[in-house]
Amino acid sequence: MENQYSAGDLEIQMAIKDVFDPSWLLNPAKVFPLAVSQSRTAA
Amino acid sequence: MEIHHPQNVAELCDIIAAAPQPLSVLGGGTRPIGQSSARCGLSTDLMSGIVTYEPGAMTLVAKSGTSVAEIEAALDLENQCLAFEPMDHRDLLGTQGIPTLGGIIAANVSGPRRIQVGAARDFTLGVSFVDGAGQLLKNGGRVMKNVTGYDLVKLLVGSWGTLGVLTEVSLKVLPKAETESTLRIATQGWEKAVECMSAVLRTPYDVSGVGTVLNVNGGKDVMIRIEGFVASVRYRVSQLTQRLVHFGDITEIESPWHEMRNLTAWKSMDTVWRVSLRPTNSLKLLKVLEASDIKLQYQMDWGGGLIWLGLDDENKQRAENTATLHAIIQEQLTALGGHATLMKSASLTDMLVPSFQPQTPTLNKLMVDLRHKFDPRGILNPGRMY
Repeated sequence: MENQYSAGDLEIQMAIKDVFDPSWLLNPAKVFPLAVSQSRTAA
Repeated sequence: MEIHHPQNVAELCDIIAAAPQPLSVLGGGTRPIGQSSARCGLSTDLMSGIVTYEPGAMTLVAKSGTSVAEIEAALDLENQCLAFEPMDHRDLLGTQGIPTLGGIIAANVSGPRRIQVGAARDFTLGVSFVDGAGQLLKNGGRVMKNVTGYDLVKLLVGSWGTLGVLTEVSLKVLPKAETESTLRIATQGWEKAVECMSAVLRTPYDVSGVGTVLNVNGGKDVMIRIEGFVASVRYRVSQLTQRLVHFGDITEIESPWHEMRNLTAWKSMDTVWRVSLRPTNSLKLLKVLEASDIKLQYQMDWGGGLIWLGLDDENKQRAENTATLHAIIQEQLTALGGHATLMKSASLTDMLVPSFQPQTPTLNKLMVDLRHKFDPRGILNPGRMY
């Protein structure tokens, strides 16, 4: 995924998840590479 | 109004990143629907040109400022078309300008064939756009199966330039039909017309348009379009004629679909609404509107799922009355489940009314939060939609 999308492209997709699921409770490990979503799921 | 015309993506990014005030995002400026409060414009009209067109793969990639006419001409040479047949709003809205690809995608403009093949949204395979921070982003690709990550394409199509400024769009295109035939059924009254349209859509004959046209026999005759190979069209026409004969006289007529799509007969209307709702609810809406003193004109498309409401010059009202009518229409649509958009209004020019259907608080919050993510400073088309 990190090859297909730039950091900005991934960031805006994760921002959408932030709106629908602010605490990343729903399937936090799916869709996004774990390394990229780490800062959001750690909290 | 000052209008920026960036020549390329880099210039566009710079303009947005440096913008000190809100921007009204435009393509050719032919669809001034909704009211943008921005006092400075940003047009993509100079960022134009077809990037790639592969007729064999039925895909076309073009910059957002490319005129729809240029795209259609290129497709025409290969006997292909934009199957969602986007409406040209210039007749209805009395605008000048050149309709652009970015405009039809940003507004999800789709014509009568939507009922058969889908909307502009369904033909958009990928987009590149610049967000409110001046950052170039992309999503989707050049094939249907591009499944990783979130599908921002569906979100951007129909967002009216409020989430980003489109720079490039890839589209799926389709071959043109070999032949076309239109049947006109002289139904008696709206109830029969809606019943007839539903009956047509329940048949297996794959019609590519079902609607009514203003100015033909009181505007209540049902038009059906059948497209495809000659033999298939002949067969389906004869089958439909047999099945629908009890609704009224059936005649084969010249194609009215250009007029139906572009509302060429609606030029002189004072006020026009575009109403989208469940086809079987269209009668309920008509009943409420017929009960009021104000006389409206109607034209249906998508089997009754799209209704154009018009207040002609003869019946035009004082601004307050039009505003009240507008509120009644939107309230009805909230109750029936659908939406009404104010397309234009001469008598309402100076009054501020919500052009787009008001949303529920939950949806509204999601929308506001999403907009904030895409455009933190709120500079892209503020007030255009909500």
